[in-house]
Amino acid sequence: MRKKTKASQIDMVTLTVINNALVNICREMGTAMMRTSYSPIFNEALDFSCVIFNPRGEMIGQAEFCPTMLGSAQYAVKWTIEELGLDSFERGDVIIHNDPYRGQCHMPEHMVLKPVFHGNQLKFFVANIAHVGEIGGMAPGSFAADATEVYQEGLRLPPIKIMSRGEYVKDVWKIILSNHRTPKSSWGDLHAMIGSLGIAENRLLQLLDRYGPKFLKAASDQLLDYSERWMRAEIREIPNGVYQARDCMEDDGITDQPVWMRLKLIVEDDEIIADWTDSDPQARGPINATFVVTAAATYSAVLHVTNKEIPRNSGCYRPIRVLTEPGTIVNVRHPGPSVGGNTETHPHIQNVVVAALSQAVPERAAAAEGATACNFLFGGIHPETGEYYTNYHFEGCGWGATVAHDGNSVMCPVNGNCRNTPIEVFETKYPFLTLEYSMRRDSGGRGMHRGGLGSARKLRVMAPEITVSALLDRTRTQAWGLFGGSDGASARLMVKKKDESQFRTFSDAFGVACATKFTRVVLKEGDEVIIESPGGGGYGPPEKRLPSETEEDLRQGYISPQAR
Amino acid sequence: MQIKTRTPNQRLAGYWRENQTRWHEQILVYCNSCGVLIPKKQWVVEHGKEQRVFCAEVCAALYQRYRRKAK
Repeated sequence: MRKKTKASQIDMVTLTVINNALVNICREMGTAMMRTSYSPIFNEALDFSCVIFNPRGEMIGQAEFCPTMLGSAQYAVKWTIEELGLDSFERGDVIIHNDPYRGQCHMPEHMVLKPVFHGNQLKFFVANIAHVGEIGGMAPGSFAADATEVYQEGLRLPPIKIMSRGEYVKDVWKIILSNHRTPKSSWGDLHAMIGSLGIAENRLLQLLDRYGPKFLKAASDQLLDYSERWMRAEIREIPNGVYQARDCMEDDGITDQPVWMRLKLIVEDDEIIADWTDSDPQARGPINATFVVTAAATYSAVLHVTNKEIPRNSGCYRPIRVLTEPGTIVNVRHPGPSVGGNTETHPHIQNVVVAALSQAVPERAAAAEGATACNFLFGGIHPETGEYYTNYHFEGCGWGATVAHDGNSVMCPVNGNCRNTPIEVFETKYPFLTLEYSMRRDSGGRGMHRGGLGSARKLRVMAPEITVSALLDRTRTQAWGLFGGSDGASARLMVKKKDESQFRTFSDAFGVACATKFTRVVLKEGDEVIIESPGGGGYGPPEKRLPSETEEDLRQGYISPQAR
Repeated sequence: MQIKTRTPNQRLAGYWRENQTRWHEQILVYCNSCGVLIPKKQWVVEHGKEQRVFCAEVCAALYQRYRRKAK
């Protein structure tokens, strides 16, 4: 049934209904992806995002997925449309794209994009961006912590058709599957991604039939403008001024030097300019952020301190301007590596923006979070199946406390919004035994509100050998507290060989240049690893904490009696 | 500390052009204001012999009103 309303007269109720429909289409895509994908990184960890775009490359629908993918998707989609041209898209096409030098965040993030035609007219694009867990390159799990150029990070795909008019482009599939270490997983996961696009296509066609293309276009345009207006109104509530903050990555996996990102945040009336141009030159190792990562982190931070009801679409990004200098840690130049920029540097950038805004709106800001995913990659031949496997494992960390709450404990860093993989699934799929998985006592920064706790995980190798890689930060720095709150505890990565009695660093045990950023260390059966994620910073002076809250912390084991 | 970056109706005269890079060439063009990689369409501003490229007109305006002063 077609609604008989003129496009120029769309009321707020109808706009809200349409916005909710777009959001729910994205959610339904996500459910299909979760239920049909092969890899735990998707069906357990939910490391993917589903989005809807108009033909101009503006995002008009998204849901509660990964902020880093959501913020950067518009750049990847815009690039794809411009490079290929709108005329090149046909019904049934699916484009694949993971090139960080064409608007993507980092190499593992693969976007599949499908045009949606109504009659003969292209009306929408739907996309699924997902962290494909193994894409070749120098390290199993494709997270090479000592890569020095993008070519070591896996198979790089510019926007190309993987499906054409509904048919496989077999040459492209063969190249992809020949370069991934676990082609069966890639085959299944890519089909789950493509399947989710089909669901969105069907739902959008239903919407088009119900409302008509002209009405739906007008509604989505009005939603973009509405979000922009609301975001501008929110920014107007922030006092004008110039706010500065900085943070560093403690090293880059190649050299032992910190690399600084420096922000000058200008709030002027209804606009924000995030000027990152004073940041350090790009690193030799893979902690560099692409421009789109920096933009996504900046958007995410502003969304954290503004009204959560603003419809999430490209409109709400319009008043936020991001300035960078190519060749810096916040905008890597080709052929610099960037795989860690998306997981590690992103949350640091986000934290820096919030720290700057805390000077303007202290009641809306949070203390710093752990800001590392504690990336732990591994692979090898599974002793039970005889097949090659890999896994990209990450940990939750402690989030920063706010004026109203303690920080969340053991949560994926702000850029990911992902979930932990349950131990049962982990042990079923991979030859590790989990000896311990717990919250780290005393890891949250003290304060009127306490920082969230990090986690501690102890694993034992249960195969003749497993090749492991790691990329962690905040092992020598801490998540800072705000307004008298103390810092959270640092992260830690330790190893103990089977015949040893003490845990020690990977540098001590295996001679790697950086103790927490390395690739291709071979562990033997019986070796053990401890991964401890960092805690979040506290908020406000500890002496203002309610005694009843301290007692509850003690009762729950969040703090020790000494920390009382 | 306050700095004023906005001047109403400030625009930079320029023109759109398409990146002439051929399909097999790997040439990257960055916006002179925000630093984003430009896919194809560039907003070109000429100032005497100097030529600057931007990802959008608004970015050229931001360069004029803020970035150039900051430098």
